[in-house]
Parts: sequence; C-alpha cells; structure tokens
Amino acid sequence: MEPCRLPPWGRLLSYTILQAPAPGFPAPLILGLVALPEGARLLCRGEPGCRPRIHQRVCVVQEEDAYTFTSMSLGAYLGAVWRAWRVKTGAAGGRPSPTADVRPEDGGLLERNHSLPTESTSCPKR
Amino acid sequence: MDEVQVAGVGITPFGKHPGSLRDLMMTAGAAALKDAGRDTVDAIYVGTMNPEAFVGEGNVASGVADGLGLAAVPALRVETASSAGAAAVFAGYTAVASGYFQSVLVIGGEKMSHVPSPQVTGILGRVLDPCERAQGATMPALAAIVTRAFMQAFSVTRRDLARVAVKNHYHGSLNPDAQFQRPITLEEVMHSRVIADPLRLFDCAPISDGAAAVVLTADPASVRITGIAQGTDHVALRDRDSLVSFRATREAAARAFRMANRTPSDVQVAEVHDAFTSFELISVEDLGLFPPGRSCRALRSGAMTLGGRLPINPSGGLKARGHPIGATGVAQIVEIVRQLRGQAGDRQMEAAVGLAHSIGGLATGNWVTILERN
Repeated sequence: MEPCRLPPWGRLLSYTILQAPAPGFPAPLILGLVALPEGARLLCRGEPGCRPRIHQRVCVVQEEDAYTFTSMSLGAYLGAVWRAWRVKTGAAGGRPSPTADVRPEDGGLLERNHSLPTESTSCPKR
Repeated sequence: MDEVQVAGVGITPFGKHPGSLRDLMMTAGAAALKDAGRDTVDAIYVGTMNPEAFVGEGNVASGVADGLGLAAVPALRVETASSAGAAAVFAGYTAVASGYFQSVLVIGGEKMSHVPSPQVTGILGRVLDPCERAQGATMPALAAIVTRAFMQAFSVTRRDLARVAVKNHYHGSLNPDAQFQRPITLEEVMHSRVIADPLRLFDCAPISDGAAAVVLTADPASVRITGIAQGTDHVALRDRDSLVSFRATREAAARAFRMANRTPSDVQVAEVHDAFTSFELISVEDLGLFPPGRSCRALRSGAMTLGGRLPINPSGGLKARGHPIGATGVAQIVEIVRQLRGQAGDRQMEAAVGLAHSIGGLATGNWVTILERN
C-alpha cells in the first residue's frame, strides 16, 4: 500500500450521536462515516454542535490521530478548495491526486448487493 | 462425510446468575448429556467470547471438562467474538462429520452481569477495528451508523425497529428460560433512553449470564444438521462494501443452503441474531428469508410472529431471551432443535426445517446452521 494525500472534504454516508461514549470521550459524541475522494472512507468524530445529515458535504480536519468532520460552510469550502488545489499541483509537497475530479462517491455503500456468491470451492460436499 | 445428529440439548435460564461461568456451563452441559442419554462423549468443545476479561478465568475448556467429571476427555475452546457458540458447534460438527470423534459435547456460555455496563461496552469494543475505536467507536455506535443508513435506504422507521422488540418480548413471555418474560409496548421501546441515536435501550440486547449445550453424534437421532457455514468480512466499517447489508451473512447463508441442498423458502422457523432490532430486519433479508426491502412489511403483517408464515426468534431472540455472548449461538440451535422435536411448549410451531443465524463482532464472522427433522 502506498500512502497518498487526499483533499479534506467528503460526503457524510451515515452518522450517530452516542450518549454514553467510552471513557476519555466527551458526551454526547457524534461519529460519522465520511466518503472522501477516490473511494477512501474514514470514520470521524463530528464537531460538537454540528447538525449531521446523510449526504451532507463535510470537511475533515486532522489533529494528530483524531479526525473531525464539520459541515461545509462557504469559508470551509473555499479553504478546502485552496488546499485541494495545492495538493493537486504538488504545491503542498504531497503526491498530486491522479484524478482531476475529486468529487466523492459513496461507492454503493448505501445499496444492498443482492447477488449471492455463485461458486465456492470451500463449500463442503455431502 | 458422516451425517451429524443432535442427540441432546440443554440450557440454563438466561439472566442474572450468582454462580460462576464454569457452574453455568457445567449445568447446561450436564443437561445436554442427560438429554442424550449419555455419561460421556469423545470431546468437549467450548464457546465463550472473553472469560479472561469478564471473569478473569482462562483455560475454560479444561475447567468445564474437569467440573463435569470428564477431565480425561479432550477439550478445547473456540472463539469468533459474539458468534463463539455457533463456531464451537461448527468445530464439533467437523470433528463428527470427519469421523475423528463419534460424539462431541458443545457448550456455549458467558458470565457478564456482574460487570458494570460501561466496562462491558469496553470489552465488547475490543472486537472492532483499533483505528475506529480510537475515534470513539463502540459496538452500539457502529450498529447505529449501520441502522441509520438502513433506515434511510429502505424507509424503515423507528416504529418498525420497535416492532421487532415488541414481537421478541411477546415470544419471550412464552419461554420459561427467557431473561425477560414480560410483553412490552411500542411506546416503551420508543421512549426508552437513547444509547446511540437512532438506537434506544430497548433496541439493544441485554447483558446476560447463561449457558447452552448440544451433544453432536454420528448415531441416529431425531434432528440432524444439514448445512453449516461461516461468512466473513473486513473488520473496519470503512472497508465494507455495504452499510445496509452484511456480506458475512449472505456468504454463510449461500454456503449453508448449498450444503443442505435447500433454499430460503424451505425454512419454516428461524433464530436470527438480533443484537440490535435493526440487525434482525437486515439479517432476514440477507438470509433471503424475506425479499430485500420487505422485512418491515412482513413484520407488520405478523409473518415473523409465532403463528405467522415464518416465525423469527420464537425463543424471544437475543433481545428477550437474553444474550450471554458465547451462549447465544448454541442457544439458538437448542431452540430450533426443540421446535423440530415438538418440545417448544407454548412456542411450538409446525416445522421440519429450521435455521440459526449468529453474528460475530460487527458481522465479521457470521454463521448459518440449517437443521432438519429426521
């Protein structure tokens, strides 16, 4: 696997508001699964007080090992576009994103694949 | 392969017990041996999720065998998180089917009611992806994220989820071994306190003590296992192909049905892993028991209730019968065997083919077992 840089915006696939989080986490704790560009996904905390919605456009901020998503305000969007441009042109020092379109997709996560496996060599014969 | 028969079953009442994990497992094991008309077996397989963390004990297989007076009998422990009991049944099945052993006693159990709830949640959280745990994920939190996606995708309401709990408590009221034997109302479920939105307290299985056991043999009996298989998936939620369906269930079901030469429409009664109310709805669709997106309608029509077309969780399920984690996978099979034998008391349905479905972790190691009356 090769590490890469991604623009810090995405779409909220789903979320919860946890009333009794683990020790060390504030209550209530917002947690969400964010679809980032290029098919990446990340489980992040939500900024306290944000009002999450499925399909909402969000920005993700990283502080050490903690990732937090916030709803995309105009200022946050412009900042994210600026940072993404820097990533794409290599100005930020990272590997440029290979795709021009960094629109995140949910990759079918909100669908059920109804097909069952057709053949399995590990199925025991009777 | 030899056919594997279920010669005996045993179960303790589920709930809060003062006794030890070993006591519970010995009680269930002794009852299963007695039901099978045996003093001993060729091996003892034990399924329990985390006795080290819950009760500070290890080497549980040896301890239980010794306690049963069977210290000379081969014994080992099997674990796949919350489906440990079903995994132990699978391990016993393969031993008998291969002819390595003629008879195996499988016991599933857990003792956890003495541990404070936040600590229980922490122990259960150890089955999750460490990176997601580091962001604050707990099992209820990730189950809630799945639940919200499922509700959005298929227009499932909180009322639909609550109906699952109401149905299972009604079934539990007919089960003398169930932890909760009181019917509940939709309002009670919907107004119970929020755990992880949209899941409320009554959407979640309780913390329980208990044990269940089966004796598997190559000798003829009244019920046989015709299909048994595991399905698996990535651990982290971010790596899943779907947020509204469990690949592990679909794969286990496909393999088990192919092995049994059966289809979902042959199943007449089923025990399904309702650790959360939404998981019962997701799972009956993943198993192919009800069409995709149609489980809520089936539930509303009474099809999944005792007396309906395909009763789901006649025992009361994890929600009302209780969920001592390692016991559950075996307890589901005990209920199906009793249904097929005509020993289910007030819960008795007419069924010749039954299915048990167990979820391990956040659906990373699931099991489907198909049983048939001989």
